[in-house]
Amino acid sequence: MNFERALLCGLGNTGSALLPLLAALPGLREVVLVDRDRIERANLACQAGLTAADVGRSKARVHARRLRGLRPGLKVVAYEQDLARIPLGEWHGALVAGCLDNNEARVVLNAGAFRARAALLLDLGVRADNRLARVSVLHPCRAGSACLECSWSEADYSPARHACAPPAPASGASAALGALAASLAMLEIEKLRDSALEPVAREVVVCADSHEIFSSALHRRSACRFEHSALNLSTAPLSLDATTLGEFFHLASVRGATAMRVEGRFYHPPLSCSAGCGGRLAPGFRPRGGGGVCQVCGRPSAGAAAFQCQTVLAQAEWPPLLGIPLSRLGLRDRDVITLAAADGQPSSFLITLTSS
Amino acid sequence: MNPAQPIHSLEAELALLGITGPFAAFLNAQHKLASALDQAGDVLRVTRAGADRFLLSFQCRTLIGSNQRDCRAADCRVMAGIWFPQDYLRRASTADVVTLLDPRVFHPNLRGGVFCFELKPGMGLRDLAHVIYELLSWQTVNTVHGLDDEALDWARANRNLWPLDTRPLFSKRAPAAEKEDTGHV
Repeated sequence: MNFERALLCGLGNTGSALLPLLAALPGLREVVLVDRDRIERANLACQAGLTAADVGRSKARVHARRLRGLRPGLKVVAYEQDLARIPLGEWHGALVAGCLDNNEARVVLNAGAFRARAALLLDLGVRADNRLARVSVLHPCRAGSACLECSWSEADYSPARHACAPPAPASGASAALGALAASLAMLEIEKLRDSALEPVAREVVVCADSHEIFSSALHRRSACRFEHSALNLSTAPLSLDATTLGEFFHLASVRGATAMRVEGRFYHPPLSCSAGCGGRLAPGFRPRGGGGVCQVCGRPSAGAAAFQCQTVLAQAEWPPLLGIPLSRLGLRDRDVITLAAADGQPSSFLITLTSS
Repeated sequence: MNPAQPIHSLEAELALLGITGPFAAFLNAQHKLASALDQAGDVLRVTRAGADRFLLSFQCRTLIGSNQRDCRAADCRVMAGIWFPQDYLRRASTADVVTLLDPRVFHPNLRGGVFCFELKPGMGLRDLAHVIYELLSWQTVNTVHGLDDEALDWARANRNLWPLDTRPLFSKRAPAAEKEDTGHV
């Protein structure tokens, strides 16, 4: 098993320790880093590769610079945003490593890996109270393979931290524990790369307190809340600035398409400017709650409330948008567009950029 | 789905949205429940607004306005939109799921149309309606942490004035238990 692309989600205790190990992986050509947070002073003691000068800076950007220093020539892409907001195509065919600190984000990680057919999914975790380091190794491309949520119980789907609640306390895990989980993950990658054995979904836990190692095979559970559906992606190389929506439909040539959606994004209808200038906010595919810029006053304007956004754009609503370039509709490199036809399987297209 | 569009067939709409498996079962259960909730009392009206959306309309006494100077208690119809995102059984955010549409309500745990309460993934319409009603009627107020600081100050200073509406949400036979509503086992 060879990996050319890696997606590293979360750059805290475990992610910052995994990064230099990934940098040394032979054959790797591109790494995508995702973390919405900025570096805090408390991070310096428990996260790898940081200096006091990094406090206040974006984790994704700081570690992107670090990675370029470790392996010049490697293509590095940094997303300083929530995992749910990055294009679904970033998961496709990638070695995905989740170094996250909450199950809400793990739901996004798991769904992205299985829907977009990642080559491998690793989920890392640590628990400071009894010095546990864990790695779950999952194979999204293998038919019938367990997903991350197959081993979850009701208690794992805890309520999200609501806006009124105080900030979550830090995990308190040491840098050494993060490095242990990262090393476990890297060893699993090396085993898969070097061995011709049948890959098995597995969870490995090391308890540093009791010096015990636990390993268990993971099996798909029919009562899992995730539907395990995957998209059949066709690559669509195009220029987002030079291709209109109408031209995309022509290129896609899906007969009888009745609706479209951009995976992970929502169609915001044209809205009045929230600054009150009387202008309009252009329609487009944006994240939940994502705003835009007023076409008249040029000021940032609030987007539609989630209830007013549309998941799917029906054919009847296409005509005013057909002449608009995809970039102006909010589409990005590696976004996935799905066209649904009334009498057939949906067709999904992974947008990759060409020079216009 | 566009809330303005009429519902022709729930099955067809679910297919269009690419919704299958446990979440499709959950939505089917919510659509069946919506009719029962709509007839379970005088306070709540439930309207279907798409395969994954509902409009909840509460006839209740609440505090209308945007600040301490202009707020006033009034009997009115408050509209809230409910949208169940595709991953709702697995993760849920109140900002996505519940939107206050009209009118502007003054409450410590409500700001800019966004409610603040503990939302468990997979919480069904019946429980959502309860939580929203208890907030709108000021039966429930989190006076420790708030979204609207001015409303939080008002709530602390006027503890004797709330709750504003003490009627139960459902005056007739309560709909089916939540565990049967969720559609998953």
